[in-house]
This record gives sequence, structure tokens and C-alpha cells, in this order.
Amino acid sequence: QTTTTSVPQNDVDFLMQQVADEAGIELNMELPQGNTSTLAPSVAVGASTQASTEQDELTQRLARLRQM
Amino acid sequence: MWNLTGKGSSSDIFNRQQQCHIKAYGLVSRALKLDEQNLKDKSLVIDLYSEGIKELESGISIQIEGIGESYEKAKRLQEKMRTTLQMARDRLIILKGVSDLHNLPLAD
Repeated sequence: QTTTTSVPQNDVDFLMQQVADEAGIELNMELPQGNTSTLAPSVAVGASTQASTEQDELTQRLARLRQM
Repeated sequence: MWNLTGKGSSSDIFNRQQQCHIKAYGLVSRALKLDEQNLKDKSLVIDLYSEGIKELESGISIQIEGIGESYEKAKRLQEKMRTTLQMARDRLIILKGVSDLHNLPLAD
């Protein structure tokens, strides 16, 4: 087991944002807005992948607010 | 509100998780959009985060026990929802603190 596994994802996101800010890089990505409201069971895998991406977007934005 | 025992067919479980995600994403996105504008009145932002937190809690409470790609993805999504939930709760605490300060008679 390495020490990296014990670092919370929040802190990783936070540090990545901090480094990006210092370097003047825009980390925030515009993610596609998918239509998941008409979900069929057969597309559950694809939908949960998109949902994961959307959850990442929320945590990144929350991490950014924490810096302000 | 979902039946929190988490019983149901696999597609039912995934659909319930998706519905919780969709609602939570909509609410927290709206909260973030207002929060990022740094408005003086935080009441709507606080309400939106609170509602989003409830949906995240519902989503996380769904038991996902099974083998296969769908289950693995659903478990990963659940972990991400857990992270969002924790950060949204932290944000709410900060906003409520700020809001309370503004409501003090001497704060103006």
C-alpha cells in the first residue's frame, strides 16, 4: 500500500486546482449535458459513466469555492 | 422518496441511483451557479444545497451488491456521490455561518 491511497480525492482535486491556478491554466471543462431522463436499463453502464463525470464536475466546482 | 431498503431488480437499482444523481446534479449545479456569483442573499443557495444533499443521501443509501461492470460502475458512482455529499455539506456549513453573521443586528 502506498501513501497516495490515503489522500482524499477532495484534496487531490484541490491541489490540482491550486497548481493550475498558479500556472494560469483553466482546469474547468465544459461537460456535455446528456439527456439521461429517458433512461432505459440497457444503457445503465453508459449513464453511470456520464453521471460519474457530472459528479466530478460538482466536486471540482465545490473545491474551487473552498479556495475563495 | 425511494424505499431505502435497497431491494429490487438490478435495473431498478441502477435506475433509482440514476434518478437520485439526476436530481442531485440539477440541484447542486443550480446552487453552485448562484454560489459562484457570490450573491449577498444566500438563502436560495442554502435551500438548493440542502435539497441536493437529500438526493445524494438517498442515492448513497441504495445498496449495490452484485458482480459485473454495471455494479462496478454503480459502486464508483456511489463513491463519487459520497465525495460530493461531503463537500456540499462542508459548503453548507460555511454558507450558514456567513448567513448567520449577516443576520446579526450588529453585522451591518
